[in-house]
Amino acid sequence: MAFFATSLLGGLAYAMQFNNLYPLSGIEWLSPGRVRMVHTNMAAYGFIANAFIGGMLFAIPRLTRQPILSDRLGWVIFGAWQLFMTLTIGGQLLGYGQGIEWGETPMFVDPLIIVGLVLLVTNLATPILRTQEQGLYVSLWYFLAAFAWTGLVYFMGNYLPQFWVPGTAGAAITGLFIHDLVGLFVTPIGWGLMYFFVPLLLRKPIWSHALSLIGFWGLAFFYPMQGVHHFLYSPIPMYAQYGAVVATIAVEIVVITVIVNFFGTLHGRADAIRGNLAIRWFYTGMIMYALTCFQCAFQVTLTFQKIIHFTDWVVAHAHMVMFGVFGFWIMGLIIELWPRAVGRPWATPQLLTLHYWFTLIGLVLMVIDLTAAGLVQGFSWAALSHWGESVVASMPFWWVRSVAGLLIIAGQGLFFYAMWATARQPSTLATRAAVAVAQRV
Amino acid sequence: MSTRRLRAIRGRRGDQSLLRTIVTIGFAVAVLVIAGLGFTYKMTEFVMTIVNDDIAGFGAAAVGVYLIGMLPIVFLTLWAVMTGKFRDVEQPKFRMLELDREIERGGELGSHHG
Repeated sequence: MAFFATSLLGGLAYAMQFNNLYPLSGIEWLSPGRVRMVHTNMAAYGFIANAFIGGMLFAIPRLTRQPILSDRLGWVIFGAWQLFMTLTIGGQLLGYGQGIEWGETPMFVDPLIIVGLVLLVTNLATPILRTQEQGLYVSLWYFLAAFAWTGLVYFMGNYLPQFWVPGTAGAAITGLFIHDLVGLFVTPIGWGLMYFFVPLLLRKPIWSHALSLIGFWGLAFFYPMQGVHHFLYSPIPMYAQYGAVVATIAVEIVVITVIVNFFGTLHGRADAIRGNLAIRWFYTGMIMYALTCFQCAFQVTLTFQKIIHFTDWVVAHAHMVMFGVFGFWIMGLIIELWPRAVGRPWATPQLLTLHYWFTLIGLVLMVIDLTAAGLVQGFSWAALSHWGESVVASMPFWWVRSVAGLLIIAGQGLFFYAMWATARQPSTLATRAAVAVAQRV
Repeated sequence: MSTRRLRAIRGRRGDQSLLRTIVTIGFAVAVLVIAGLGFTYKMTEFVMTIVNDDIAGFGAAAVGVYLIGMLPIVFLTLWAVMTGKFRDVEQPKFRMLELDREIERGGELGSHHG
């Protein structure tokens, strides 16, 4: 949560720069370009990665009925990961950020992260390979795919363009890295956790396990190497660009299998959206996921790219994916798991509802605002208007973006307080029983 | 969830709705044809960059990384087939709910429940 807060504050500071109100002006190591790297990297590696590892540590032993390889190793990895994140922030602020989008972790941190990932995979894959269960639940398949891909993708994105494949080819590989980081790291772990938590909370099995496996293999075999669509109209050969566009649109069919399965599971239990806040977060994130993928099918076309490339449309899309989908799922995980972790029921449930609405309204406002800003910018550039005109036209949108960011941050402030208030309640037999009742009834 | 309800759900496995079967088979075919062909087309074009010597290093890196990444997944799939993990494709979704109940009751990790 500390890295999440860092990311939020970095994002707000960066947004305020567009309102000529940058609060850290004149301090080189807190200059906007460096703060932006901290914002994105702490969102991906500090917030999402930490939370997803926590979620897997809960889910895997329960699905395999086997402990992780070593608790002690788990604690070492936990401590090391927080150290790597701190080094990443320090390195980026001191000017050692690597010039690769989403791979800005300083060069001296990259090998540490790869070693950390190998240890993490060893610790978490062991119970899956040791399980005596007759079948392998789909969540475990998704986790295994993430284990197979994450270290490799990280290595490809951070090292190949830097040392072995420079220039245009390096840029193309960077495109693959950006998209594979989302598709082969956060997406499989995120869906794996949803396949675990949603049936447990709804107290009914997933609609079709066979369909979930089709979605898994569709992702595992046909999702990789999508990201060249990030570099349309670039010096990459057009036939390779066409290939990336066609494959991206075609893979949407895999997305539909997952959405159909989860809404099939919800059928007959839609009341849970109202009564269970974790489920509400999960399904809100799934709707966002469907929207982002639907958007993706259009925005990867050359027609759309002509207008939206380099505009705020892309920023809106990135926020909808990283926060609206994976961030929302993590909120649901915390709402479900925090009372277990501290052994007390939520002290202020009404704050959690407020947190949900503040966050949702803030994010939706930001996405609509930046999408509109992107269209204004894109059409302004396409009309060959003066660059300054597009900046002037964007100013109102950038103010709305900052207000939306403040709404999101206010919501997280309520959430942090709710977590703190819950943890500081006296732990009694009655509170522990209340947790058990809240979780299991 | 009560054990009785779990048993009832398990009992219904034999007569799964026709709709579910049709949807599952339909999506299996659609994924294989639509996503599979799209992906094959893309990777062929990436390979063509090697053949045409168009963008040195890119095709080899992309295809090479894909093949390396797929190796463990193919092996895991073979391992799963050989150890009988797919004997009953729908069984794990019921078992995961049972497992959760067992663990909530205080069951130990590491015991055999095949």
